[in-house]
This record gives sequence, structure tokens and C-alpha cells, in this order.
Amino acid sequence: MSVFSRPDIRKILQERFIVVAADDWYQRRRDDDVGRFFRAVADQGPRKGRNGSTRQGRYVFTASGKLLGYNNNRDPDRIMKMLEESLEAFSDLPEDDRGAGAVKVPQIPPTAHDSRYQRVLEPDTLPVKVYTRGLKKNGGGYDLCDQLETGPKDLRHTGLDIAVDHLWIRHSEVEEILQLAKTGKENALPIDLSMRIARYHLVDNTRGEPSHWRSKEVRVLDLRLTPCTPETPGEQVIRIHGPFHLETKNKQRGYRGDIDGTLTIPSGTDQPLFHMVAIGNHWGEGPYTPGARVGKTPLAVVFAVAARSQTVDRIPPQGIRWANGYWNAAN
Amino acid sequence: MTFRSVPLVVLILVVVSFSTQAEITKAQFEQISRLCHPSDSDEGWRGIEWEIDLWAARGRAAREGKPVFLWEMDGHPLGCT
Repeated sequence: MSVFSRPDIRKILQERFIVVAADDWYQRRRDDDVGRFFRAVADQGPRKGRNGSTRQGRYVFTASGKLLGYNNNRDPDRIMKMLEESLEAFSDLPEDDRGAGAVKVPQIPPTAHDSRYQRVLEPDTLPVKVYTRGLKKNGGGYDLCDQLETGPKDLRHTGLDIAVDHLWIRHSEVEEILQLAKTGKENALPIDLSMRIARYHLVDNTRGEPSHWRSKEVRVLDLRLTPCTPETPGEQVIRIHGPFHLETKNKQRGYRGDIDGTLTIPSGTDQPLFHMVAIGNHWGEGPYTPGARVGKTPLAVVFAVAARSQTVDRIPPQGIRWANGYWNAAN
Repeated sequence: MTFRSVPLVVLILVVVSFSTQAEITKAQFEQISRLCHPSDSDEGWRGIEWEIDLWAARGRAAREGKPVFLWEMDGHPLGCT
């Protein structure tokens, strides 16, 4: 994200471009107008997606689909240069290819989208931010890892930063939790939600696309719901807590720890607020996450409800590419 | 202590050890939450008005007479790492 932390790049993007971010896994596959448009743009550059391969990178193009610039580099100076050259190329175009309103873009009815490769936050779904970070022990607590202790120093992803994902929860699942809490007894968290959290969100995504856990790799998972006495009259507070142990058959990758936190329904609202923390030792790496710290080291995952109104909070979970598997994670 | 009672003692120790490990203290909870919450500098990209729908971005570009900047990654660029 450091490229977009640079003020001059943010300024030029915000003022001179329409800025969009997308997951290439969907874009390069979707068989609809959106996918065909994207691939027609990408085909003008170096990423032609031969044999279905990735087309990732940074593209600049016109509304009509003319490619003006491309790079796949994290160097802010090179990106800035590409943006400036693309703007020059844009200004050289005839007015009927760049003027406001010159190009007509038809509406696409929702039914014309390739639903196999499109995930949209539906009104019945609650997005929860998931922040993941490698930490180090510091006495009885934890601290940031401010330098790469092990692993190749030239990795693009050092794993020191916070990774962001989104957990999606159906409102019907929240309602089920509330009904269970009404019994006044401790209960198990509904199994699909429990397994969704474990398999798709208790992962180390700090260095790229993580490997998710198979059902059989969930060795221990005992997430419980305990109704709590609220500090504020009228609110509902339910503690969600319990141990987890996730590990591959060959023991090369694992994560073992505990979750604790609350689901709160504030007084006078029906807006559920999740705030949970998972902490434990993680070890190993996946095919797309090389450079893991050596040994078993602390990894934290924090769940906090998202604003929903912001576009970036509506991004689908990384693990929902196979939607049925995500929602029915216990199967 | 008889030979037969040893496994029981070990089992109790293991259970006690595990139940102690299972607690996330309030101080740890707050500390971890703080350490994992992005700062403004971590999320400078939030200062940009991102679209997440390519077709919507294309439509805006046409209406406003601007080029599209598309950041395309395997794994959503704003939602993964």
C-alpha cells in the first residue's frame, strides 16, 4: 500500500483519474461484458493471459477501452511516471474519445453478469473487517515486529504490515446467535460460522494470498457463546470465545491459539458490533506466502465490524471465490 | 504416589496448563486490538475514492471525461494484503 500513501500519487489519482481496484481471479474469468471489456484492454498490453494466466498490474485506459499505460511495479516513481505519460496520451486523443459524455457506456442488467465470477455484498450480509498481523512476545503482552527477523530480505511482502480481509456474516446467523443467547446458557457458535472463521480467516495473509484450511485440518475448534451482563442497560452482549488448532497433515503449517471477544447489540439499534481477537502461534507458509518467520511465532487476527457505507468495506472475502464452500464451511 | 496415579496427575497438569493458556487477558485484548488497527499512514490509500466495480468506473470515466486507473491483482488489492 506504500505507493498510495505518497501524497502526490494520491492527489493525481484523485483529481485526474477514475480509480478502481479489482481481483484479477474474477476479472480474467468472467464471461460477460465486464470480463470481455477488461480482457480487450489487457490484450493491448503485455499481460495477455495466455492459458488463463494472471493479468495483474496497473492499467490506465479510456472509457472506450483504449490502453494508455501499464506497469506491474511497486516503485512509486515508476508509477508516477506511468500516470503522467498516460495523461499526456489521453490529452492527445480526439475530443470524441475523451470528452465528458463523448463515450456512451450501456447499463448492464444484473442478470447479465456472470454470477460465477461476481461477489456482491447483499443487504442481508454483515461485513466485518479482519486485520491480521505478525507480532512478537513482550513480557506478558505483545509488540510489533518492526524488522524482518528471518526470511529473504528482498521479499516484496515482508509480512510486517497489517493484512486486511473481510468476514461476511448473514443477518440470519446473527439472529441465530441472539436466539441461542436468550436461553441464558453457554452454547456452541453455529457451526458454519465457526468453521468459516477458522478455515478462511484464521490464516496468515500478511505476505500475499493465503492458503485456507481444509475441513480435516481443523484439529480443534470450540467457539462458544456466553451471554454477558451488559454494562449499559438495554444492550445485548454475548461473549464469543474458545480455542482453535489448525494444522496441515504434514505439520508444516499450523496455527494454534484462542479467540475471545464480543458481539454487542447496542441499545436502541439492531446493528451488530463484532469485536474479537484471535492470538496464537503460527508456523509455515503457503505457495503464495513465502518468507514466513522461522518457527512458531505470534500471529494476531482482529475482527471489527465494518462501516458498510464505504466502498472499500464492501470488498468480498478472499475466501469466497468458492461461494458455497465459504457459506457452508462446515461441509 | 503409586504408579497408576501418575497419568492422572499428568492429565490434571495438562488440563490446568491448557485452561491457563486459553485466557486472553483484557490488557492483551486491548493491546492486540490497538497493534492490529491500521493507522492513517497504513491506509493512505483510503484517501482515494476507489470504485470496486469496473463497469461503474468505466461509466464515471465516460461521464466525467477522465481516464480509468485500474489496479488489478490476484487477491483484491484493497481487501487482501
